[in-house]
Amino acid sequence: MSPREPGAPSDGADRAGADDRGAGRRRAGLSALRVSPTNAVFSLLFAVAGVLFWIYDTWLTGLVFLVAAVAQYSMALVARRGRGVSDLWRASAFEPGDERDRAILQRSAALVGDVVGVGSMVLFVLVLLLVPEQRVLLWYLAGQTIVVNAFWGITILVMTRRG
Amino acid sequence: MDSRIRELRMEGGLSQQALAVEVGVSRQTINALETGRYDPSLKLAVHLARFFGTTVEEVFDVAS
Repeated sequence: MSPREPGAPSDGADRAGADDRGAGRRRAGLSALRVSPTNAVFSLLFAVAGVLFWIYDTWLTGLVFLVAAVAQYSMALVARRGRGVSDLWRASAFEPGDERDRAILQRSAALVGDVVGVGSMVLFVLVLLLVPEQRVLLWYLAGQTIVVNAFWGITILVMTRRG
Repeated sequence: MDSRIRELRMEGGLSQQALAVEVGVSRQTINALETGRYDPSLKLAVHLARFFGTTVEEVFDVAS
């Protein structure tokens, strides 16, 4: 058994992950930025916030947001370049290059969700036991716990129906 | 999951990068597959097996 000759024309449909990248490119509007939709949205949000803060608040706050927008976009562009970029960089920049990168991002997001879910519940109980007179903090943590658990329930429902 | 990817790749005289380009994944993913740190999706497993001209069972040791 021998592999196909390197460099030989390969079937386009024979590339894992190519479909996903193609689908991503077809997304109208945001695709012009040549980064993932997540990075496009975050970069644009930072840029818009930067302009608004520059106009309506202080130029320094605006500058911070504009620098954040440029940093986010630059990191994504470098990650998108592909060859020579580490998996850590791609994952940190939210620019998954293949299924393993996507799995890393999904597992990381799930772990963050676990920590937030358990953490907010533990904090709520601790505040309830130790400083029950802090009503604002108590309501905040109760609200956060309820929202996180509601999202958990909705996510489970959607994922089980998707199969 | 153990695999014969490294062995098959070496037989074909391919670098990890070259194989990665052929099957449309990153070099790090090929390395993770070869060292057993990552279990591929069914799609990628089939792509790799087809590339090497063999079956999924020949490439991956599912029993272990």
